[in-house]
Amino acid sequence: MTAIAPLREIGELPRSPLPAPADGGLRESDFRLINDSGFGDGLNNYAHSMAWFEGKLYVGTTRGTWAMTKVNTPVPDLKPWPTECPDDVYQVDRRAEIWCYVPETDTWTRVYQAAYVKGRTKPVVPRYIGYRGMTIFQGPTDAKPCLYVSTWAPQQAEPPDILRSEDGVTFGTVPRPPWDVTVRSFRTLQVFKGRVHTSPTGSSGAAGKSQECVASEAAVYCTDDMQTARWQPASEDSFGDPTNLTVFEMAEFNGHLYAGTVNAAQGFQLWKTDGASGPPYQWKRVLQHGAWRGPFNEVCGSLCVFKGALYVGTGIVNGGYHRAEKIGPAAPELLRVWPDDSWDLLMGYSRLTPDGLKVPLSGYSGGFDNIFNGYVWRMGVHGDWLYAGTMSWANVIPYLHVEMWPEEMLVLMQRWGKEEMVRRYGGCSLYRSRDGVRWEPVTRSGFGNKYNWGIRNIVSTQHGLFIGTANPFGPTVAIRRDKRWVYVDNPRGGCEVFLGGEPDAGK
Amino acid sequence: MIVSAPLLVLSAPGAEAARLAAMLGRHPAAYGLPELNLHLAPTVEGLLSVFQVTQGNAQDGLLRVVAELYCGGQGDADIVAAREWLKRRADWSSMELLDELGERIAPKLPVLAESSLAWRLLEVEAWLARVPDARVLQVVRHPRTQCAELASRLQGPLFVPPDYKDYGVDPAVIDPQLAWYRINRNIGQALGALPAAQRRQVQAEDLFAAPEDTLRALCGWLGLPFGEAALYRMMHAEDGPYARIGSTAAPYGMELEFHEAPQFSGRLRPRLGLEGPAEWRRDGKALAAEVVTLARSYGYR
Repeated sequence: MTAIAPLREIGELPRSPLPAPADGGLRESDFRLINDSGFGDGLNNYAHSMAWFEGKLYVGTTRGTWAMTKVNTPVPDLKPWPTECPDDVYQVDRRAEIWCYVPETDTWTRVYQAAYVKGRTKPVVPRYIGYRGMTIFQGPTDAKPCLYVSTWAPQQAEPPDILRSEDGVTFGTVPRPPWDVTVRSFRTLQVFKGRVHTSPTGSSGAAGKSQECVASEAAVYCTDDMQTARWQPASEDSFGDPTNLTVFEMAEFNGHLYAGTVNAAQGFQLWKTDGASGPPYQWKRVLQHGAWRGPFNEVCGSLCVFKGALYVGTGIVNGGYHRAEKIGPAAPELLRVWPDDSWDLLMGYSRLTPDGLKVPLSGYSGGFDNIFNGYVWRMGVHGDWLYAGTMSWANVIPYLHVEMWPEEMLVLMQRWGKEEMVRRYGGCSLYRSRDGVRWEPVTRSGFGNKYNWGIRNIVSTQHGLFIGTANPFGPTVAIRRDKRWVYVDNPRGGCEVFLGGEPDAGK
Repeated sequence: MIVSAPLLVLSAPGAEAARLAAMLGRHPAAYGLPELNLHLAPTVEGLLSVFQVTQGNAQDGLLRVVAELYCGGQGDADIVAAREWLKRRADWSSMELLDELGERIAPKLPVLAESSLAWRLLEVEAWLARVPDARVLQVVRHPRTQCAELASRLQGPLFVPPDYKDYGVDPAVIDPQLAWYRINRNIGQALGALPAAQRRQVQAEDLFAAPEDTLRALCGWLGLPFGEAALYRMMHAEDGPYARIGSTAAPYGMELEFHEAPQFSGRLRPRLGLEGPAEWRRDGKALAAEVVTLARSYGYR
């Protein structure tokens, strides 16, 4: 008799999915695939932004992410590389696209594609390689509410600016905030009290030094008019704490603007302001030290308001292992903050904190009991339910050296082997809850496609719930065949979009 | 609906719930079941699937009881037969299986302790919703003694489930008070929805200090006749069919400390105060205020 096995008995045990309730929550079978393989181009890896605008769904893509990862340092130690990529990332067509879906006709149209422009040293480079955020806003000089899109520019191009469209067909540009040229991308465009707020998200100091989730500055900027670009600082840089590397995510809740940071040294912080004076506003810190978990809660990755509380999804950049800072791998948590700044741990790891004893009220440990989940990437409310989606790096397992893995992963590896681990854990998860405490899985397999490694966007509409995925395993993927690795076309590589709801919903 | 609504005994690990359940299960009008873990999946097929991937012994109790009741014993061959018996009923719901077991032992009162059920509030609630007539006994124990014993046990193995650690410090340290609080809180919340007559709470220390009085009171609540013969049987839980470590194919089925010493010894560490450092921690931190408050609500000082 060993002492290990019985002790596992008294901890959490794996569960199989609960039966679906008959009270309106969406099940996996309620979703249908309305776009596969990156709109027919597997290089459209991420459905990186989504918005509902004038009765249509708009999806902004980010392209060629594995090609980009390959040229950054430190490079992940993967063998072989998961997709076939040239050594020069500029050989990949990374011109980011915006697609439009019309529910009534069930049709997609590409409404925008980034131009090729002259690079700083290269003759032709894409103007934008991704679109990480969208919002609908009407400023004083806008004749009507417009679709605004935040962009991601490659190092060879001019810094990123903002796309603007009145009709969803014609796109122009408006200026970005007065950031340093090292700022290469931004994502959140958060409307609050008549102003749009944003912050830099990605940066590049030099070739090969790009960081998609860590910016070179950490201030919130705002403007009441996007066209005239009267951008003003809304916060002190890093909220006065230099360990805050980036202001990553924002949301409006209870009459306040909330902003969550990336903080590799201590763990993320969450700040709020009532915006009563300024800009710049007076801010108050609500959470610190990654809600007292430390750097394993490095990032405030997602925010969502639901039934009187602000839900906070955490993570570690680079998919759960911050290569440059050597943080992780570790699974994310889900928290909720109440208007009085008190907070609950919903999913994650128990701890004694200066704010009191915290246990996961849902009963799930980190990553919804899945250590391969690197972030809670997106949340959304549809009907009476909150949906939370993850990013999972399990599908990278076949390409990883396992010597560096945590002990519990090695135990599983020895028990099952790599292929079985991918089969069991591959693909992102989507969970749902009606109260934030009782969670049930919608899918734990990327809607049956293990290459969907992230739930990247969730948009609720009268036509149903749209889910956009991140799927970088296209257009080719490395597979093992006859004891050697080969690259093959991947028909399920590239971002996908699912629509969940009753067949006649919205009609 | 099962023939005789079961008695479900719940506690945080280390509160001697398995022992008390086994003792009550030895009453002539009751039948003590091992842990069935039916909450792990909604169907028998799902249960078998979970059992296949789990690293522990979650399946042992169910296999042992099926082997005992339907396959003629608990030897290795009987356990194999029990697994086949379950496979043939893969399309059953888990609660249909509980129904079947209840009919098999009827008219005796089924008694079972489920040590992994209350980690998740949703699952306790779901279990109780499916067995609405069940009576539930919550066994509580002083957090200082319960956690100290559990911490001592957890020092040995290489792998300690994260549920027993405090992640507020780096590296995380073993601190069972977090599990004590989490599970007891879940049980209290789930039982709050039950009619008062269907739920009861007992201190483990009372069982050890005054076993006859405690068992008499519980039998009275359950409507079981109490007398010398019944008391004798209940005081000898080690004679139950699942008390001892079983065959290699399914050795356990109940909490390990009960399997290791199924005889009732009458010894339990005395109640200690709630104040002062948590002895299993090296940083001198006291029991958390939330733990102290919950323990006080159970009558501990």
